[in-house]
Amino acid sequence: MNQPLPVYVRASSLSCALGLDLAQSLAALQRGEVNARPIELNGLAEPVRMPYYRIPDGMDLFDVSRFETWVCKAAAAALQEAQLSAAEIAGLPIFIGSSSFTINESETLYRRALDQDPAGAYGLPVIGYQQIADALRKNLNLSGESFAFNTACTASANGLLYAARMISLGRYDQALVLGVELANRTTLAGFSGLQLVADVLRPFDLRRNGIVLGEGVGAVLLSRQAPVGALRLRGGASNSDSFSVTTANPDGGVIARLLQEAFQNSGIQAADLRAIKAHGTGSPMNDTGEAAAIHQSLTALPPLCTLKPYLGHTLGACGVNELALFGAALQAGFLPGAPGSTEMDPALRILPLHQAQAAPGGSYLLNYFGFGGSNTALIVEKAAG
Amino acid sequence: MIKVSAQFQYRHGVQEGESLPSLESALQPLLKEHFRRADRFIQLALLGSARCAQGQNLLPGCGLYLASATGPMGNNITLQQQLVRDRLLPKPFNFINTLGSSSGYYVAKNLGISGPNLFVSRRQGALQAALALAETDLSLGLVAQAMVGVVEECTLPLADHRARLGLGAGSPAFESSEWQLLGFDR
Repeated sequence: MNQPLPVYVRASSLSCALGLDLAQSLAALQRGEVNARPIELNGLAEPVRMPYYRIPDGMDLFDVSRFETWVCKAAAAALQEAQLSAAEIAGLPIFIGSSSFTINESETLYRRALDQDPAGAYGLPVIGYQQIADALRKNLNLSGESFAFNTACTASANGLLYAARMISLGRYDQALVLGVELANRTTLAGFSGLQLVADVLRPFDLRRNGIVLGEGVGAVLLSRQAPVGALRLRGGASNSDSFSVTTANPDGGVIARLLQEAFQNSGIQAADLRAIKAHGTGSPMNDTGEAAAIHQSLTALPPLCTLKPYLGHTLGACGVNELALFGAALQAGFLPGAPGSTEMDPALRILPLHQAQAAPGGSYLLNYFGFGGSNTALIVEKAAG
Repeated sequence: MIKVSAQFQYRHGVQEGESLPSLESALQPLLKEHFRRADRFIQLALLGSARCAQGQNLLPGCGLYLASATGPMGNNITLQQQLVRDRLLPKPFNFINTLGSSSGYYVAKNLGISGPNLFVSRRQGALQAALALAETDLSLGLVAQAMVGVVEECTLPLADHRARLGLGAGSPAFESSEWQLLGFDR
């Protein structure tokens, strides 16, 4: 086998609770903005109320047109930054990661059908896996192969990992990776039913008691070629844990093995890490498993960052969304601090940065874990100087 | 050189007015434990993967690459009926099983493997998508074996199923679980 080719983050974009584009979001991150707002699902037998990190577009949260608007905006912004030719765009492979795809449209159409003709209405009128690729083809002439990942909260992280691997093998010169998570009733009611939702997101904190959901759409263009100083995606690893379909193993063993594989596959040592972008959901068990794995894998702990207090948990999109925002922060020269986590849990012996600090050149670990025992880790490298 | 070490195909044509055949008796001898929360899609994935792996020496790091054009439709229909029509909160396992990757969890648990566990969808060419991912990991030497499967579920009534998939009245309907174990020619 030939030596794998290097892969770079050539362009990225993000629309999230912090802002409508990546520049706005980065500026809000630097200001330490937290924009979670209370929402309520009406019309259910039991009330569903929770804080939520929404894209501040002023539209009705469940307006079905938001999907195409934000997916195409994110993709177009990354394509524009990368300045690809029309021919390159037409053949660009698309890797999509999402937990819910376009389920909001399916819910809405079913509701309308029930209102108009109950006898003729049928559940799940739309199957969403292909719709994102179809929208990109229709609106932006992106006609390359598509891969739609649905591996819970690792979905777009797996999109990044496998796009990078295929580029490193020379299968593609570049690829567009999207993370898509937009508000829908299934997700909001589903997590409410699981009783996993907290009022405040406090990753790794002694008082942590659950996740806060968010929406966001991000895009990352990975390429063999990029401007000098671009972030390099060195590699990563993906594995699975059969401990529980909903919870990471609190002993951290399978995640520790994942991190070792990620270091090995990326050609780095654990000691090379400058910081870790934790998955950090704020749920008691998942943070326990992640902290245990970090302690098992690293003798000296580098700074730990969490982005979910700013973005909410954007589920299958968090791989791309958090890489886009973390990468932008690295390139701007800082590791983001996060509010909310100030009381050390003695069982975890780890707390995220509270105040921002300088981000040196070197390697960074990004963790992602999901339902179904799905674990993914990525290693990115910021150029020195 | 990558070779197909084993393969298995389950494919059942569903006729008008017919109910779906129970998979319980076929599954029972293939499962290490009873998976009480397994819906039809998960059962199909378990059946095909376990039959494909029968008699094979699966390594713990074997990768799992599961593809589907339409995913776990039956469970998603149930959940949407609960939520939208009946205005109830989804039941926890209905919600969790909306994810395509939930089936991969049960397959990996049953086969005792813990390598990469992916669920990928593509309307045309789901198998090709899964094969491309598996071939990538095999080529990079990240896995020595890859279980590659394509699972498609059929839901009833058939008229709704066909409407959902944009198929004409009378179009053939089927459910399937088709698997290959890939490895290297020694």
